[in-house]
Amino acid sequence: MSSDFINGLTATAEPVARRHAGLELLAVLAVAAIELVGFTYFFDSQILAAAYAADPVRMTAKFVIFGALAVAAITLAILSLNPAAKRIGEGTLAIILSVLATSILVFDFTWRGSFSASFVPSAGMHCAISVASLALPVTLVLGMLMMNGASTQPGRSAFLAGLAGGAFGAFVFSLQCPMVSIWYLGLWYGAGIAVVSAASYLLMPKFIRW
Amino acid sequence: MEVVKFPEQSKRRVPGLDLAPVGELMARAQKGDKRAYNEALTQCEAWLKTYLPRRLAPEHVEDAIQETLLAVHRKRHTYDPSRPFPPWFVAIARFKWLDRLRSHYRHEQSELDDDHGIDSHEETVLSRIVLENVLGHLPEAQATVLKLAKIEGRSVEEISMATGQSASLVKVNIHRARKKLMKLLEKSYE
Repeated sequence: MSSDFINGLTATAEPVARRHAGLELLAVLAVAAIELVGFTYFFDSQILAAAYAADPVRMTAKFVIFGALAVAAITLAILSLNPAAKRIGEGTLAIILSVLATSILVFDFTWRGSFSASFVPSAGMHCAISVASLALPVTLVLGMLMMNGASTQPGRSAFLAGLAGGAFGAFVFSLQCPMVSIWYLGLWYGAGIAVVSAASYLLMPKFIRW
Repeated sequence: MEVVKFPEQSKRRVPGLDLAPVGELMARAQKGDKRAYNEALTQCEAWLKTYLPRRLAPEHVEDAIQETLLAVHRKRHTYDPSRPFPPWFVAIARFKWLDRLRSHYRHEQSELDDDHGIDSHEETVLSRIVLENVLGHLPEAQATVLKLAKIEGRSVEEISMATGQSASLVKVNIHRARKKLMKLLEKSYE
């Protein structure tokens, strides 16, 4: 019976295009670049210039934190699509989130972020929704790559895809958002990233076919 | 959480079967060489016939082998010939094995929730040796109910009477024990 099964598989086997992690990374970066260029084309650069002039260090730190998180999460998400890759344990995820939290706290204590400024629901909701919306292109591309890949940790790969998309969305949105209060960023940008990561974790594995 | 040490920890080496040469066959198969592909799958099947019977009940082994070979077929484009074949293949085999355990547990849990009782021993899912190894890593209440249900094959009512736990608590403890069991198994084979 097994040999019949193997013969059946063999009969349908055609040459395949091999998966290349490097090309996948380039594809994600290309989509990210298109989104970034498109977004910057439409936004009012005077807002960014004014915010940057007022607080160049914190604005730069904001870009660097979200940009670094996006790059790290995109890389880990793509690496996790190889079944033979080192498995991503809770420890790795904890390290990423701890580094992010530490960066945020150092950032805030160094430049005295305003806690009260965090709770501005109208502006905050706008930021959270924008971050989540801007997360979609990168998240979806990573989702498509997940279907083509062979992740043996579908939940974690999906979570990383959402985290990568969310972090990139936060990075792009931060280019036109003058807010630099760390509590504000943690709360509202964090909410946008968390929603995308959670949705990705819950939904994306259902589309994986092994 | 402490990682369980199983008596047999070797994941890639099955006595008498060396998967390393299969990498070259798989590389040729990716280019459309059907003879090489047939040979690669045949060798993978031989390896699975040694790997899976130690982890699954006999009636599940054949299905699990076919599922694993089908997964290899669907994901053969993800194999990188510049890297060793065994880690790639064993990761897929392990994933399909754990996937089968998970779906089996889900099925059993739904039967428990429907009050159909437990109709199979743990030997149908895991070897008794493996189960007894992990029992020591579970809280006592969970280990007791799992042992009674899965090794001794007792019903929920019988376990309830034997342990003094309510029937619903027995079900909860079995459910929690299974979840923890899966985590322990996943960790132990990382």
